[in-house]
Amino acid sequence: MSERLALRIDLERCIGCKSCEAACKQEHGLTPGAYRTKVLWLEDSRPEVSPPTLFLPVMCQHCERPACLRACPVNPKIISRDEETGVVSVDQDRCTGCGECVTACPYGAMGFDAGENKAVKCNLCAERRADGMIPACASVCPGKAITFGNRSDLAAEAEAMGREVIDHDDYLLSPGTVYLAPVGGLETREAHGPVIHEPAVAEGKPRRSDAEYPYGAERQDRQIDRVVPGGCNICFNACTLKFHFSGERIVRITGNEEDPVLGGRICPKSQMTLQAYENKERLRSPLRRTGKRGEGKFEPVSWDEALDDIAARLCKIRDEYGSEALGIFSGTRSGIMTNRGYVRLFSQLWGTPNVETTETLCASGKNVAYQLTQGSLAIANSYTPDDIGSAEAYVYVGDNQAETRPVHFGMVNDWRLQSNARLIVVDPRRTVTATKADEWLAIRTGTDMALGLAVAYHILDEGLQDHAFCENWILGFEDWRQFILAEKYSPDWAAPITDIPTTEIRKLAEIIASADGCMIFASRGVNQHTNSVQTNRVWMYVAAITGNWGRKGGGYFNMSSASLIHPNVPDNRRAPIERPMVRRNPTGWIAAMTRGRPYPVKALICGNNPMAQWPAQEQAREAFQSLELLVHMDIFENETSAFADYVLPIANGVERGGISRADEDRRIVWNDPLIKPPGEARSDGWIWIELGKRLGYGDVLKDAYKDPATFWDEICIDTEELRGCTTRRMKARPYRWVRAPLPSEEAKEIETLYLEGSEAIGAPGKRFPTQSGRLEFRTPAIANKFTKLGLPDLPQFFSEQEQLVDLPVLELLDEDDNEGTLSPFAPAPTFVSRARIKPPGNLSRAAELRAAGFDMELVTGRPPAPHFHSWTHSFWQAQEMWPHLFAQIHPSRASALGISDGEKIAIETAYGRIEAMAWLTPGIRETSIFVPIGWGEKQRFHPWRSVNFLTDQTQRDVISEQVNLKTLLCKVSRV
Amino acid sequence: MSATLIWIGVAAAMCLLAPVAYSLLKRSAADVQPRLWFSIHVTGSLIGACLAIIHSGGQLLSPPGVLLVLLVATMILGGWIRLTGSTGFAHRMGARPNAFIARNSQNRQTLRELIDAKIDLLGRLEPAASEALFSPQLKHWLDKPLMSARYLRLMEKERQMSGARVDAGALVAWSRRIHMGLGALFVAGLAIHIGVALYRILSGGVP
Repeated sequence: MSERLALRIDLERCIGCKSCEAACKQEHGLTPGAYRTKVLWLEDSRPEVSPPTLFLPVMCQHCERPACLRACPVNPKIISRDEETGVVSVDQDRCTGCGECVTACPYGAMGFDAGENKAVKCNLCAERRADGMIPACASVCPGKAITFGNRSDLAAEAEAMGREVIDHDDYLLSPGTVYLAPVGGLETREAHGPVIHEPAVAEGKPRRSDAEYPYGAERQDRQIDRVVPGGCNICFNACTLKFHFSGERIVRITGNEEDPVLGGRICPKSQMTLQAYENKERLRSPLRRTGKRGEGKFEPVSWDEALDDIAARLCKIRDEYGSEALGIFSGTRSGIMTNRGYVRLFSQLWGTPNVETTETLCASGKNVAYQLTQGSLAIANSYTPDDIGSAEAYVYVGDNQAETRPVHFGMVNDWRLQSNARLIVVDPRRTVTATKADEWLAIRTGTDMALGLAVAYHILDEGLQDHAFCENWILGFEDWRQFILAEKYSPDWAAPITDIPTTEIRKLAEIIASADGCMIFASRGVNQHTNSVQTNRVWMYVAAITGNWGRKGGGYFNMSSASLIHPNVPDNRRAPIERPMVRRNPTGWIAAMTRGRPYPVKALICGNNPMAQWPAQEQAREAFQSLELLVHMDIFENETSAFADYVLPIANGVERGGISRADEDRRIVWNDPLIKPPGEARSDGWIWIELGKRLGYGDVLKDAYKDPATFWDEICIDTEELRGCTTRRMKARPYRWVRAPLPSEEAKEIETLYLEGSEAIGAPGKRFPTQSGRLEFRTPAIANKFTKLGLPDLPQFFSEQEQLVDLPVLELLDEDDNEGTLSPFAPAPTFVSRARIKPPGNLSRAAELRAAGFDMELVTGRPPAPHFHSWTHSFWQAQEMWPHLFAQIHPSRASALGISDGEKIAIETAYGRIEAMAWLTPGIRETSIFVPIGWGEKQRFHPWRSVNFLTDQTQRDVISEQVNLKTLLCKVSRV
Repeated sequence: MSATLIWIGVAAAMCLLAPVAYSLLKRSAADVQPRLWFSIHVTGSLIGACLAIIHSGGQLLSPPGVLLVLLVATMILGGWIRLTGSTGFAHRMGARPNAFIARNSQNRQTLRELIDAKIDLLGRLEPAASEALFSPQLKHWLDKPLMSARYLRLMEKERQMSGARVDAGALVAWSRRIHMGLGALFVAGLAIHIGVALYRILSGGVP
């Protein structure tokens, strides 16, 4: 029996997230440019053929006839092949860097460390194997695409699974790695010959010197002496981690294999947070502006100097303009405990309603829709085999889960391959999620609502709904059914609007209705529109009428499960608030900052990077120039810092501790503070408390709350839903998480909420936590809210202002300079514009733009998995993986414009112009162009202007104040 | 030429033998540290070149001056390989995705025949060796130079069929070999130069 060791790589499961690359570089301390493993994205950019993107992890093939070994001129050979295991290794201490092995390997699988001048290559993690562990790449893979083991066993398993093993032995080297072909096979590619290539935007060049410890350090200098569990604080996947220490320094971040849900799988971002902790670009001391605003000139000052002056200037602004003149915008880097905890308390003590997070840029639409329909923001389902894993169909509408929450998608993809569940993706792009789908429906951007209405029509028209569920658990179902049929929202009606054939719409409806459990996922593609709430409601109703609500394996899932933290200061310590919030969306504060209307906002304390993240950058920057005080809190200096009067360095991740991001399926992960922040950096909590003390709030914002555990246990979880989520309970587990809601420490966690026969937490006697205890489609209270804004309560179709076809649009009746009316949907008094649905007409905004040559649909969104907004752009490895701001464009359209792959192009909307590198891909509608968010003109590597120079802050959903970031007319040209 | 310059020339020649020693030692199965010798070859070349320049007295247009130009060219190329060419090596990782996907049955048949020919030849060149892991070493070149050359030609043919070297681009693929070729030319020229100088000295003339 052969003991030949090998990796098996399943190309159907690989999602190109590059987590294996990140794990490999961590494990082996590799620096920029040096690889033992590299993941390629392969596409055929010819317009006439269109196989989905293939993700190909490349590493040493551990050949039986290794060409690299034979090419090595040194005697005895520096490269050797272990007779027992078949592992081919290089003795790096003896390698002279001649490169003969590199140019001999026909697979291009030999790495080279140009800095150290030596070959580097995969040895299936010999050191880890010696310790009884599997190779690093296999241990983290979110999609379970990489499996390690005995080669003959791996091949036999593949055969048993009925999977095709790719024969890639053209060079008769007997490669050891077993590649499983995608389920659809590789025939399409082979028929057209070897023209597959990586997009030209795929490789950046950070220098070796850009990598800080532990990268580049010898293994003996990063020996692990203890391991502490915790979690990733970047995205909604909330992955559980293990932090490996050498002395007081973190030397490795891995997944937590003890986690019963994630099992140690993590994406590259969690691993690359290692590049934040010792990053030489980190802000280390408070900075005070010395140059003009926007110029970026600063001097270091002490915390006392900075906070004393900030407090004094805030008081002066309050005296002159009122306490509401302070705006606070906090975002993801600050963490939920800051956003919903410290900031909330501070704003109540100070007396300003103008406090917001990134919610109205991302997810406020779905939050309003959830609240209206099910009376709670908690998402019912969990990523477990019994729940989401048991679905018969997965439908993704505007949700690129594979790139935004790769670990969760890896699990879904694994389950659907095991159970043969259907996977359908509705998206203008063939996203990574769509590459795995049975069907990709390339919808016209901004028309998901029309598709949902047509799906509902077909289900209702054919009587395919779950009659019992509709009768027993939906309030207002019959009204809505009659409305849908009366409005004739049929598949025939929707086909020209959505650009999806009638037959496909009917098929989709029938799949959703007939599946024994259908998970309908939606995300920013549905949310970031002016019809955000109504589109979410439509798809929620589709899920509900087919019985996919409050059951295992069925549900409407628009991430994430919003935070339930809402502490309040004692009533007698609340400062009076005289005026409502200017607008719920912070970009609605621009008029208040620039022109003082409807009332002035003169000071802003912000985190994150509004100067890349907010839409309408030109106006946003003008507004920031108008401020009398801008305080920016962040881990790295960025575009926003340049405008600030004070830049305050904050701690990050395990430097400050606390809970993770809001997880999709209600898991809350705890981190202890494990290391000291760099220099003078402090946790956000420390900063808010210290600032508060200077304003006399020390009795509420107590020093004791600088300890995140004390703040969490004493302040944050004093609610019915969270009372049991104590740090004690989280820390008692090796994986450090609990699943909310938990009314007491003894309470049992709930895998699936709202199951029939269950009682919602905080709503005694009710299955759903609404007034009626049922899902609410239409009630007098809901109708009354919509009437106040001038809108129909049942979702009536409208789309975006800027489309290539004329469609009904939402017309706002009040500009941001005016008060408008008070929002019936906002949690606190808030001004909002009234609106009406305007039928299509020749004099539309879209028609004007089309006449002016704006002939393509701009779609913005998240870049591939290694990036998350601006902070990952300071990680050298994320920039090595995805360096350039790209613009995905269909080859046919590119050809017509004379644009080639990798060429610099200009994209222009009515609001601005940017440049990006063209990425020709057949995986996008011919009329669309996609540009990702996150890049900025001051970032450490590969600076580009933000895509938000192209977006418009006035195109907002008046119900949720969600801004449209997905559908804008643009023109594209060569630079 | 002064005695000092002559002795500087001798020292230069000694230093410039370091690359030769490096090249031979790393192929000789001797118990050496190849990376250390790589550093010695770089250092020796640098010092040797400086001394050679002094030794030349600026007479670059003379026949020995050509040697100096050759030396400098070899060193510049060596420096380029180390500083820039090595980055080219690094970029080869993942540069051949089609190797995993495309299939060429005809190629396989030709390769099979080539490998069979190698196995056949290896049976006479080094009977105990495995074709999968073998390439001719210094001792083979000394013992059976013609057979080694034939084996090497088959190896090169196999390598050509993979296309990997061609794909790497001329500079990355050939710069090291050109560097070695230039170095060999220089060493040969140096030997002639020393021979001529010795002859002149022994003949009582001025070197």
